[in-house]
Amino acid sequence: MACATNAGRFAKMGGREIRPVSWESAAPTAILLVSLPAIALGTRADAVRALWHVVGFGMVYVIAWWALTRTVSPAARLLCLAAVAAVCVPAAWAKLPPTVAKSQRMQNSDSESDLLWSFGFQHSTQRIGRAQPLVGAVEGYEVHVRLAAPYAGPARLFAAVNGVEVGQLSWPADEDTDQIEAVAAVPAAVLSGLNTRPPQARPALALPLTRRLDDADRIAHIVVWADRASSDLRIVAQRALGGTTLGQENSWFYSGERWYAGVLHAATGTVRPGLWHVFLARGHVGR
Amino acid sequence: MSRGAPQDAAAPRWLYPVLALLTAIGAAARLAHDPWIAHQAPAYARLLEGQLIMRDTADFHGIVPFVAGATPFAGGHIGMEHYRAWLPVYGAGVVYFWTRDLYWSMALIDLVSVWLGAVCMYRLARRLGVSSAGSAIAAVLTAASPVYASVIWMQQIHGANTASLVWGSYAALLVLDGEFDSGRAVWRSTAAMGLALFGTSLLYNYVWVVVPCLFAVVAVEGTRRRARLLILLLGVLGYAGLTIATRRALTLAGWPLFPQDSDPERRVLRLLQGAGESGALVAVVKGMDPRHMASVFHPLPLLVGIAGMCLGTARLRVAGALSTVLAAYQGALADVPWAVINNYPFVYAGTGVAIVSIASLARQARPRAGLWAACALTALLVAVANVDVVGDYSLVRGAWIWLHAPI
Repeated sequence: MACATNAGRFAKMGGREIRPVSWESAAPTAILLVSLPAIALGTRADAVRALWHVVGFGMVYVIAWWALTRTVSPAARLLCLAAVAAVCVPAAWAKLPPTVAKSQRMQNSDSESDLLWSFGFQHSTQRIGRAQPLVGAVEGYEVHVRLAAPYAGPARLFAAVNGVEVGQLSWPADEDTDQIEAVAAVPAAVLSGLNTRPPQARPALALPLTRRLDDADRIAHIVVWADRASSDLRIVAQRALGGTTLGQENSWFYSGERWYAGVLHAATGTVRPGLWHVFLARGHVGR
Repeated sequence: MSRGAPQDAAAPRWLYPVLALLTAIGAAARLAHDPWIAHQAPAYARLLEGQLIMRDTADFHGIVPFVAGATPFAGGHIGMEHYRAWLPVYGAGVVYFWTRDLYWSMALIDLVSVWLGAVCMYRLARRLGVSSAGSAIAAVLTAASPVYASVIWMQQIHGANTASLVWGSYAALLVLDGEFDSGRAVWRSTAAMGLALFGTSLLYNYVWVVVPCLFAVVAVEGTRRRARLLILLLGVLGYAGLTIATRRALTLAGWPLFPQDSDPERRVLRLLQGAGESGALVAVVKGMDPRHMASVFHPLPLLVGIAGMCLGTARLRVAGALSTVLAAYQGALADVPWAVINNYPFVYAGTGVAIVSIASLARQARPRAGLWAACALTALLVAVANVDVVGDYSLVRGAWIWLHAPI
């Protein structure tokens, strides 16, 4: 009960001074008291969503209230707090169709993307190649090829390392669809002595690197191919190559006749600088 | 220190726009190229609305549309990774409701968080007893820090991750310094402390850094020690009560929190359980690798910052030392350099102190040399920590070595 006198002094009730309640100080409380039930009403169909909004809005509003009290005039504060409520409360009443969220899922790749796309072999003479520096011991390595999506068709992937065929790549049928990696073990003997024994293989299995190698570098030549054309068996590729040691020569594409430095961008049909998601690693590369 | 103290004096007018500009330039410079994640760990790269992101963003791309009204919840469970990011997820959900753009709803929250983190850095540094010039330098270094960049420019899109450490530290220190004191009653300050800590727990849960540092500050400062200790203790109880109530409400709503091994609570319990075993603590101490910290900050800003901490006030020294130990401890548990960052507000506050001290020495030689020295040193520290912009990814590789495979 506010009892301000005309002289602006405060009345006393029960020995305590009673301050008048001005609209500037009452209005933020009123906005909060109106907003919270409005949020609860808007989210009543889902208890977790209601809780998320009530706690979220409550904290954001209180923090904004305090910060604005320190920095702006009461009228400006009121305006800002009303704006906070006007932006936040309608979100509690929103009902988006499930298709909205589905259309905005994270993707392993997108054929149309210039950043991260995928490639399917168009005939069995095509090859993709990777030149990857190795560090440390050579034991325990595997070839990992990242696939864009699960594949259960008849096409099979094969790999060669340093001109030596390491066999068919395989992946479990129940692989996490978010990170499917086709794998084949690489015998240590294939990787040992890389400095002194550059690949001497038929052209389709040897990458024509032009970059001069440092003595300390040990570069593994990885070549992957499919036994038949398959547009569904897709290997991921990307544009960025800033982390590679060899720059554009880290990745190669063999057309069936000759090697090109770079990766094939299927949507445009061009070979461009990039990186195949083909790695020599000792375990899953994406977990 | 209380309300109206010099520490609350307004920042220079140019500072906040400059911090916004630095944030925008940092973002534009990285977005103009491919993000770090694609260079560093290609297998973790994914697409979201045509933009490259890090796979870990999957933590949020289900729950943000759910908060914005898309049902059913596609995330499968609500885990600690969601709970500890409650407020950023809520903010991103609101932005998503208005924009329908999932990538930018999360990225916008990240960008605003970086700017707010730098703004609060100025205020926090003032509270830590750093001069206005030193605090401005600390804020500039924070806005351009690889600590922030390593979350955002990796395209990890973890809304407000990292930046909230400054907000939480500032808010809690403000309460401790009497922002909400009213006469002899402590209930207002206690409630404010409880809310500040609860809010911090919903902003990446930096409570585990903030609370120990507050206790240390109370211990080394004689002013109102009993009252402040009481406020802190009751505030921690209030935080615990709010946390239990919120988690209980989630359970009642049918979505109990999905446990995660990396929860701080679980880690503390494991440490206490392991304390009795011979060698357990020794192993943790041995695992503290100072090189991890240098890998994240870049050795030069880190060394300057630690030297500045030593020159600073008692609260800066004690909070800096304790947070550094906690950061090293976290690094030993996780064994990844990027985890060793929980002392960064104090490192940058210390850097501000050190640069102002050097500038003061230079001013004694020539009057205008002080300003030039401060500007040059700040620019140097910003430059060495942002070399990735010109294609040198060595610092990034050091900080994110756990993701890096030779490619």
